[in-house]
Amino acid sequence: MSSKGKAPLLDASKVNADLIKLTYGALVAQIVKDYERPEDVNKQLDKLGYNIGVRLVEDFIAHHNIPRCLDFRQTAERIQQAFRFYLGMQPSVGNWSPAGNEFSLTWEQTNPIGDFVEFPDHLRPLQYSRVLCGAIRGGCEMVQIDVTINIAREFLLADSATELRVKFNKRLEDALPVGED
Amino acid sequence: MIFTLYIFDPNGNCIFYKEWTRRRHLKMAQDEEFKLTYGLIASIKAFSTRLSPVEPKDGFHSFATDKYIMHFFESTTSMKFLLTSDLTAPSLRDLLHQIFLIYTETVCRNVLVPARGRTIDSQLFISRLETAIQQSPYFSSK
Repeated sequence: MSSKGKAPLLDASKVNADLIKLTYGALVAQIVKDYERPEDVNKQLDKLGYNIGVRLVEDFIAHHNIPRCLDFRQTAERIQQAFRFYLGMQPSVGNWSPAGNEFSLTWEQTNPIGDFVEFPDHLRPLQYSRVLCGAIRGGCEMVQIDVTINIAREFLLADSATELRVKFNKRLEDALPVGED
Repeated sequence: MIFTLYIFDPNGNCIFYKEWTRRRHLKMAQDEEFKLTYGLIASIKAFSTRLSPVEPKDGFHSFATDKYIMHFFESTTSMKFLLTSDLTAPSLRDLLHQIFLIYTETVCRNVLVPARGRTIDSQLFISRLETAIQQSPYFSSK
């Protein structure tokens, strides 16, 4: 099912993408065992992703020297870029809503983290890609952007692509010390 | 000469403070001083942006008195880095950015440390910070 095994990278700080996918799969399987109800599992995956995003964004910004985004389109580009850096698979950005506050990240004919997955029927409510949503949400929150993300299409559930729908809610404000306004 | 360094998290907690040369201390508790410093920076930032006669971009960089300069760098994730130095130093924003890099590599990447709001106690961070600061050409007085 997967692309042919890629040559291991020489850089010790990076690991083979397949290893990540397999580890993540094993982790999901374990969480399914622990929580049983798919809804609870989704919640855990979202939390997992959120915690990843919160840290990753700091790393991403520091190393690529990224300035603050001026509009939501730039944000979309950055998210796209971040996926390329950390996952090696770049989604396409598109399907903008007329108001420009909602877009889709799409991986055609694939799921970036689901190469080795077969979905049993009784787990259909399980959102395997929830971790990606959590990561985007966590990352955006740290740069004061509040977003909501839904999984519009899931390749693993026989859709033609994996599509995440990202919606801009509001800008968050810096915390001010008590007594200031 | 570099005097002191403050690092604030986005909620205004001082998560790191270090002094190299400091001859005067305030007659107040240290956390009081941190709070005032954060308040000062927040106010300067807000007001200088509002006053800006042209379209503001990066915001506030530093202020100077006749004795010291306070250099300021804020990451996109609202981490705030403040460094005080004497008047010989030019802009130290590159150094502050370097400190931010060290922070992400030694603190953010450490999964055992909560992502936000904890005082930095990583020995690796402190030793790499120390090296970076001491290698800076503006560290010692001339």
